[in-house]
Amino acid sequence: MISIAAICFLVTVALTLAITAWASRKSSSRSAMYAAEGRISGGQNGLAIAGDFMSATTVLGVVGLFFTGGVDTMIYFITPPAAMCLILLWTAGPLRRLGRFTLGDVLVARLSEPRMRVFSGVSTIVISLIYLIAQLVGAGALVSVLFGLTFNLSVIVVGALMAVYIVFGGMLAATWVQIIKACLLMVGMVLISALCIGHAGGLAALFAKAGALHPAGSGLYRFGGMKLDPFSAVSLTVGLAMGVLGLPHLLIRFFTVPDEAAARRSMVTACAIICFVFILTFAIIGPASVAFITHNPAFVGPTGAVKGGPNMVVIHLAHAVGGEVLMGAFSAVAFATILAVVAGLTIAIASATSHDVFHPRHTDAQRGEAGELWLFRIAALVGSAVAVLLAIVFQKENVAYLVALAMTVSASTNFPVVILALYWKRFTSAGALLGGIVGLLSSVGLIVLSPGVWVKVLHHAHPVFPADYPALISAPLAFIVCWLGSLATQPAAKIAPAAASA
Amino acid sequence: MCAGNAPSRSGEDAVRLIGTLIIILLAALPALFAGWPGRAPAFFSSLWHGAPGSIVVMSGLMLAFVVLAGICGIIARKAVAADEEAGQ
Repeated sequence: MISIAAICFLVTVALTLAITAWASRKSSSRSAMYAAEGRISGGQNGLAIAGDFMSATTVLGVVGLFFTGGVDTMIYFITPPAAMCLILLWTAGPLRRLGRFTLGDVLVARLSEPRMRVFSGVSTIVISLIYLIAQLVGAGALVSVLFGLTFNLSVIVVGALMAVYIVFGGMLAATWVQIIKACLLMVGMVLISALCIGHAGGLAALFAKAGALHPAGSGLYRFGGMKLDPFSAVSLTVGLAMGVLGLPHLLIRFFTVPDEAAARRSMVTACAIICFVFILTFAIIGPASVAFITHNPAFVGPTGAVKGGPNMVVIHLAHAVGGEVLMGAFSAVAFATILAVVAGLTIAIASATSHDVFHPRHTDAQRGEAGELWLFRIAALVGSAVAVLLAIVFQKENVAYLVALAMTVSASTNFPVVILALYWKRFTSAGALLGGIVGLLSSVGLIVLSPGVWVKVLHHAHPVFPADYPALISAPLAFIVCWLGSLATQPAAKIAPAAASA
Repeated sequence: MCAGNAPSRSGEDAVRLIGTLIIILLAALPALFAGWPGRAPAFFSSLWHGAPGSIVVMSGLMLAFVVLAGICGIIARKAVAADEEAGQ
């Protein structure tokens, strides 16, 4: 079992390193490292966005959620395509038109305030780092189970690989790793789905078997399995949708295409690919996991808990329907999934550090492009090292909460600032800073005070904030503070004539 | 580029706002069913006679988003064309 998985793992690593070596020969300029010189086509970028978005948490985690929560997991499946349609309608074109390398470029172009670059850089680093820690914690658990390594060593291996991709290959390497991952994932999901239907004797038999075996019976197909209260259900949806709209590592992918038309094409392509994989996951792989894993002593312990945790459900399913070969191959796909996402996140952190956070202090000609490139590489190395260390520190934390934290912070910080900067002509940099900071503090604060952290992690008796998902509070709060802050800081000379040029 | 500051954009913006409302309403369906589960099961079981209607309907909803993405792409392209006509 280990040998097949190990061979697939080594092939994946060798393939991605070969891509990095090829990309490094083409990535000598700042434009190449940050944005692949804007030469990625719309179709390629769509595949890369899909590869960037469908993280291990998304692909592996939601199958585990379906295994217990049933069709309520639809919230996790429907919000990303919805958010992508909204990106397509409102932000894809303007972002491509106004930005070069980072979200900071866009904010400076709209608000004419260099300090916005620092704000954008810091928020990008915070969101991406939290998301990266979540991915690494999940990666460490997965790799350690699959290959028998310790958690720490697993995280260090993944961290080292992601640093190599970005330091040497930049955005071009990350893009092609993501494209290959997206293709592998689609093939893997189609294969597993077909085998599941075949083993069950048809789709109707598969649904019937899952309904018969699940502890809730046919309740598996009824809403309410996750036992979400109305506020949590709506707030989770808001957080996930707005969070995707503000995720820096997704939005900077628009800078890799030549024009707005390609940016729109890439979003349509990404939406189609993600929906295709999600439909397979929701309609076939989710029920199949219940049908083939529940009560199977090879995959479930005496207490009924899935061996290796709920994230391993889809890996066990591959084993159940395709034997050790498919399990090994799908493990490699899962590993490629992790590598692709962490590569995209590392790019976001490194570019925000070198281009945004330190940019205002080094605009002199002496530093130049070469200096910024060195800073980019150092930031990639340091960012990777910090993320690895934090992943080791937080290895016992619930990955779902880390992702929820990243999404909620993104929904409450980046999303209000970006959307108002693009579409409200009276938006000011002071309003953006105030709203962004309030969004950041309120989202992080409410998550810490929620039952998931305050009670389960910090072991207090009662939560201070009653719900697990606070985006429904923190995101509107950020919008209100942005609005009030902007109204309070309107420059007198800018109100009348300058507005016409906005 | 800002919404509403050019006459040629008002029609495009209205279409985009309607599209946004449709997207939000569709995306809210699973949250409404999960948050108020008492409403959803009767609807789905009566629709599909005990078969997993929820799976079929929700999968259809995801397919609808693929179509919506294509429509949104067309709307966004027209909005850009309106921008260019307005000289922004």
